[in-house]
Amino acid sequence: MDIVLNIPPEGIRLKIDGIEADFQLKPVADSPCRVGCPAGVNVKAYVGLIARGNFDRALAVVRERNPLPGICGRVCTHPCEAECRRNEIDEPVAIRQLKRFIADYALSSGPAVLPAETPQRRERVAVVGAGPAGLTVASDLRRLGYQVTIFEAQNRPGGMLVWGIPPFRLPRNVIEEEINSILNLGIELVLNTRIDNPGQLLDEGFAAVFFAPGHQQSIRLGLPFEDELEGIVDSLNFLKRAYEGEVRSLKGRVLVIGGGDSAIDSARVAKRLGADEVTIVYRRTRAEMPAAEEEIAEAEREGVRFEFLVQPVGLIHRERRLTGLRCVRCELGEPDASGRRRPVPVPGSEFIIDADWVITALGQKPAQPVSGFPDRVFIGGDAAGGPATVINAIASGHEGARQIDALLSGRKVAVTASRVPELELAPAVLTAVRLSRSQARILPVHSRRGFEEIEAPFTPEQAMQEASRCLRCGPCSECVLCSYNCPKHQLLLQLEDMSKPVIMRVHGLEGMFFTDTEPRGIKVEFSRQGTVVGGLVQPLVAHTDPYLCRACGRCLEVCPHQALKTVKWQSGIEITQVDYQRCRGCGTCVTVCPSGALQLRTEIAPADNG
Amino acid sequence: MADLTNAGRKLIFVCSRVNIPGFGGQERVTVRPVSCIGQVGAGAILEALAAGMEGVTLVGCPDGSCRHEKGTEIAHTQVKLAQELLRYLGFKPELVRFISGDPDKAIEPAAESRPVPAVTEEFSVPPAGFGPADFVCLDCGRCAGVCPVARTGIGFSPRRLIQQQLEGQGRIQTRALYACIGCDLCSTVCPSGKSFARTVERLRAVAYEHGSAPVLAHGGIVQALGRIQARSAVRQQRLLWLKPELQVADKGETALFTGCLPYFQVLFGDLGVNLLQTASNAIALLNQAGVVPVLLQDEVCCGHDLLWLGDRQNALLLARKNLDLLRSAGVRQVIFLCPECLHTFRVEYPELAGPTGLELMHIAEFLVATGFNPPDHRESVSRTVTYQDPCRLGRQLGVYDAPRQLITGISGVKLVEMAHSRSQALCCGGTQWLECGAAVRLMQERRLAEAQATGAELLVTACPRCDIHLACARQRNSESAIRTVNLIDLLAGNG
Repeated sequence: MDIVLNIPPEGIRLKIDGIEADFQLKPVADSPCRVGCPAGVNVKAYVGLIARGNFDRALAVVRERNPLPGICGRVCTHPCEAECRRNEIDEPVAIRQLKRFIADYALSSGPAVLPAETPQRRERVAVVGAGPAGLTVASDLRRLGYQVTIFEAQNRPGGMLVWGIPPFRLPRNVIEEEINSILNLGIELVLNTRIDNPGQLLDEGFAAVFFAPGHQQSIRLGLPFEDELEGIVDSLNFLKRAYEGEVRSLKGRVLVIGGGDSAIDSARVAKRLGADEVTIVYRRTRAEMPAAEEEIAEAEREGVRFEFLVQPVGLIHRERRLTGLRCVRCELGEPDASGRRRPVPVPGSEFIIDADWVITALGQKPAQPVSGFPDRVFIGGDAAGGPATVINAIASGHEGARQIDALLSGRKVAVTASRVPELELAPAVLTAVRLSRSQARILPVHSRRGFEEIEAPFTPEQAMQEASRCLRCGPCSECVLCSYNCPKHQLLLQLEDMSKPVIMRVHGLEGMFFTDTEPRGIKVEFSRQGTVVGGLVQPLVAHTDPYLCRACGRCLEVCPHQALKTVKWQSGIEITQVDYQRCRGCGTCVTVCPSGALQLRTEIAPADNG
Repeated sequence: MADLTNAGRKLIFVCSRVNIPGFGGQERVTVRPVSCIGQVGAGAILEALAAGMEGVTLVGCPDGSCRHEKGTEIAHTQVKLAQELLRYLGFKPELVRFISGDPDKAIEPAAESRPVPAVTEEFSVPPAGFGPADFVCLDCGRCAGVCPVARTGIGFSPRRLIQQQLEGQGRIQTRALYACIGCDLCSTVCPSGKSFARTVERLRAVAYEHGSAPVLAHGGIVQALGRIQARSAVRQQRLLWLKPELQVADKGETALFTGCLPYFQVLFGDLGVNLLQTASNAIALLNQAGVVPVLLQDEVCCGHDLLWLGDRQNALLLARKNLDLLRSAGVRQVIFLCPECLHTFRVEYPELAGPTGLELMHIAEFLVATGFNPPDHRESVSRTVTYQDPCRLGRQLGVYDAPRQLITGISGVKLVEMAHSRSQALCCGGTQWLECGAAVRLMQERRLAEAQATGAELLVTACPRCDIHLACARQRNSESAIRTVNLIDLLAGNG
């Protein structure tokens, strides 16, 4: 959740230690997982709330930035987990599974509702394409009060969620529930309506258009007879027909060409339809495959075979029916534009693989060029940046909604400020204990017949246990409860009244407050209605009186932020010191300190600049 | 000296992230927002009651939702601790309670503004009563040579404190004033024959009048207990622990002063000490000697810790209460378990409230005087023990032999002395619930090492304070294996 600060319209220009700088006030410096999420979901917050068993609030936090939690909870590529600091200790927190847990919980707690106080706006916005990007933009704009209509060319919403991802990874009822939850906000959905010229919608009274038709055209192999033979099909077509029930069984040997998620999905679906042998043919090695590692591993487990460094060069056929694939071996050469090493055919290495079916999964491209539209048409989703993940599509939707809102409301678009420097929480000094990552129950391979979902959700106990592995990186525990209800975020403005000292914690400014050894006050000034106001602000932190500390260690036991450590003082005496960058000023250590050595620092010098 | 401004008022501590259920700004309620409810200790709760508040409520986040994880849990513990103490104090425990706040609405937080604690301030000593006649310093430096605090190297010196005063600078660092642990070891080597500890005590009284507020150990709970007992008109229930088989009386010639033992047991039971067992054993021993002691349900703290903090006003209230109670019970002789209480009665009370007219003695002195024969405990044959001279009992009251006589009177027990014993004994580090820091810990470790070096299996004490502080030092110092036992428990066969 972005913090709503009661900032004067002209903004706050802060002068910190004499250096004048535009400073965006943010509630917290971000934790690595949140930085890693393209959609900016406040991961640490909901993980923390799950750990505390506050599932309702966790769900609210997820929905702030992700309208499709159940979908992401199943198929997200979870870049957040790659950023997780647990990687340096054991394994990342199972964030995707936790999101899924909270989304499943949402199914029982009812759909999201539009807050009653949402101001209604007259402007109508059209969204073309009911994929994840379109759904996100619609959800965001509806929450801002706009009237939104989604146009979808197919007979059902979801886009690639429905046509690309197999039900055993993403059950169809989950897609339906989540889309319905978005539509319930009061969004109109028009199906079976293909929009090729989004500019036309502007003439029909829409104030802006978000154009996200996706990539619907499969890329061809470019081999002779590709379009004429029986037994060769592109993955998009194959999956759609399989999901619709048009193809119920597949016999013989199946070759899938490609290395992306579609290739893996096609192979796994083919296996489920009864194919005797399914082999993925890829021209690079496993390391270069764009598909998610865990999906590759599942496919392998299900018996899918792989032929790496193999490139198809011709189709073998008899009586207009495909019988095999002529291939050539490759080796890896210099990196190409994508940064991956280019496969180079080895001369004279041609060979033939027998096949009854070939499924091509080489990726998709837009069905039409997406450029040359009027100003008020915004392009998003795969159409804007090429095929990407669900979470990237959601991020693209957020960005589109922000731009459309800026255009229509005249609200100044907040320039993304440079992020507050994240405080270093080096694992080397963490007292973190190695805790094994929770595993959800997975359907055994021998039971995987139909399209039944493979992965079970966490139980509430499992979820809470897994969430409590979170190291809470960043300067606060980001429970975000303060964002919901703490008026202290307005304290900067209360500084106007500097006749009395004010003690505060300003989230996100922590880095400014401390030298290595001492907390210090910072001078804060900003202009308000032409008058410069401000004062000295000092953080509320605990500090140790070395003369009184007997290093008994009780404080270390209660500090939830690992902000205390025992060090050698003069004459080799051991004392406990406060790490001011971690201390959050809760004062629990003060309560348990038997000697009174720990005190909350509350001394504030009065402002000297009036 | 009831504080009328607080009479009938209630105090609410509230975590600034929740609101107070059903609160509409009632009158005679003081609301104090805190950034986490876990920062409210039992000391602060009792201090509020001592200041005349009629009740204290802690409003915190519901269980399991504390942002700082343990805040609510700590608040529950502190409330429970305060309630246990209130039970003995005779107050209804419900006066102190924890309630869950409403997390969806926060109260408007007042600016958190609190007085700055005085840690290193200076103050001037008025010349009257503190002239050179009180400080006869020959500048020999022997005090600094033996002082266990100076020895730890934290920069304290008894001589410097006296010299600052004598040289007419008239300003004294409170840091130094509170760093003295009052063991009076320096006075045994001082050629002037003055008690340095008593001088410090008097200077602290002046500092106290000047508003100096040192950091108190254990959140000030011991001093708060003293003040509540000084001011409250509520009848205590401090004998709730008393077992029926023990014979005690309401009136009579001989009284047993149990002191703060019930309260200390609540506060320090987690260290493994069993002070109420010591008190029970003492009564049983007296019963065996044919004495049915008077135990007063409403006896109050002797005032030792308030006196050594400098709060003479409340100490005087305590002295008067105790003397009135003892006299009206017809008591002429008082037996003490705690040398600090004995010292306060014998030395301080006459200065505060005039001659007591009471015969005052430590239980060891009483048992020796009445020819006590320790029962023969078969299990305690051939044991080697060593003895810790309490500062107040030994150096300050000159009682060295009675406890030793009792120990050696037990069949099969052999007494060995530590490197420093009798007048040169090292303090247990008890201080007066002030300044319990690294210096104290070091001297405790040194003392335990000395005890260990004697080869004894038990360290016998004659003071509950020594019991508590050595137990604490031992708990945090796993290298020391020697067990501590109170003399009374050893005599009763519980050693």
